[in-house]
Amino acid sequence: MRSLEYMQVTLMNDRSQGASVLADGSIEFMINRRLLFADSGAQDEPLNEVDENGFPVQVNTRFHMQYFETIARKSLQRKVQRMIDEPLQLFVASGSDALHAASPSPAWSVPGFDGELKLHLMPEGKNAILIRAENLYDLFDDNDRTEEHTFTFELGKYAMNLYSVNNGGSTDVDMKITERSLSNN
Amino acid sequence: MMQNKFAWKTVAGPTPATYPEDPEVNSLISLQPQRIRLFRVTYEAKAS
Repeated sequence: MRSLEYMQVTLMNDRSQGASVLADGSIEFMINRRLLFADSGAQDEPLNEVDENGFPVQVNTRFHMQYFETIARKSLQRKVQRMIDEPLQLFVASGSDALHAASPSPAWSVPGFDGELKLHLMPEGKNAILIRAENLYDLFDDNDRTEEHTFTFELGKYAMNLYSVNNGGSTDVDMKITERSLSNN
Repeated sequence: MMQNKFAWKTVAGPTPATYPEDPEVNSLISLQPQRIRLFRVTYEAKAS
């Protein structure tokens, strides 16, 4: 919701919902639908879920709210969306000591960049990996500021660093990078 | 047969979007807002 040209409030939660503004200065969120009586609509029985004690279903929801000036701060909407939809996950083979060993990907392995970057690594086979790079900046946040939020990323250096940190610091390897379609064709 | 093919709007042509050029192809890549790119990296040990 925006007002005064530059002020914006963004309210985010972790599930599908309905929302509306019934009066100025208020936002109503509908998190769980509960009807005590049938409403003569398509549903011919009330939607009244209760637990074994007759209490309504409890819904635990986490809300994030950001109230900010769009010219001074960045919107966190997409960042929160990624945190909710795709939380950071680490998969380790059973019996592996990777969780106790040194971090497999130290901070220096990602070269610097000036923007909002998401990297997704997908091992494809022995000595082959897919790197998916995404600029998270959302054009929805502003009017056309495409050029301002376009940045470059040292993909070649990053790919070499990936090899290096997993091979005892060695860079003695031939590396080939090819761009693929988004569906990897 | 091709003349009878219905011209769906999705065959209108390529997107009018212009993509920034990469300063170094497959090494230093450009990403504009909302752009997603996928790369395959293969490693081969150097012959000793």
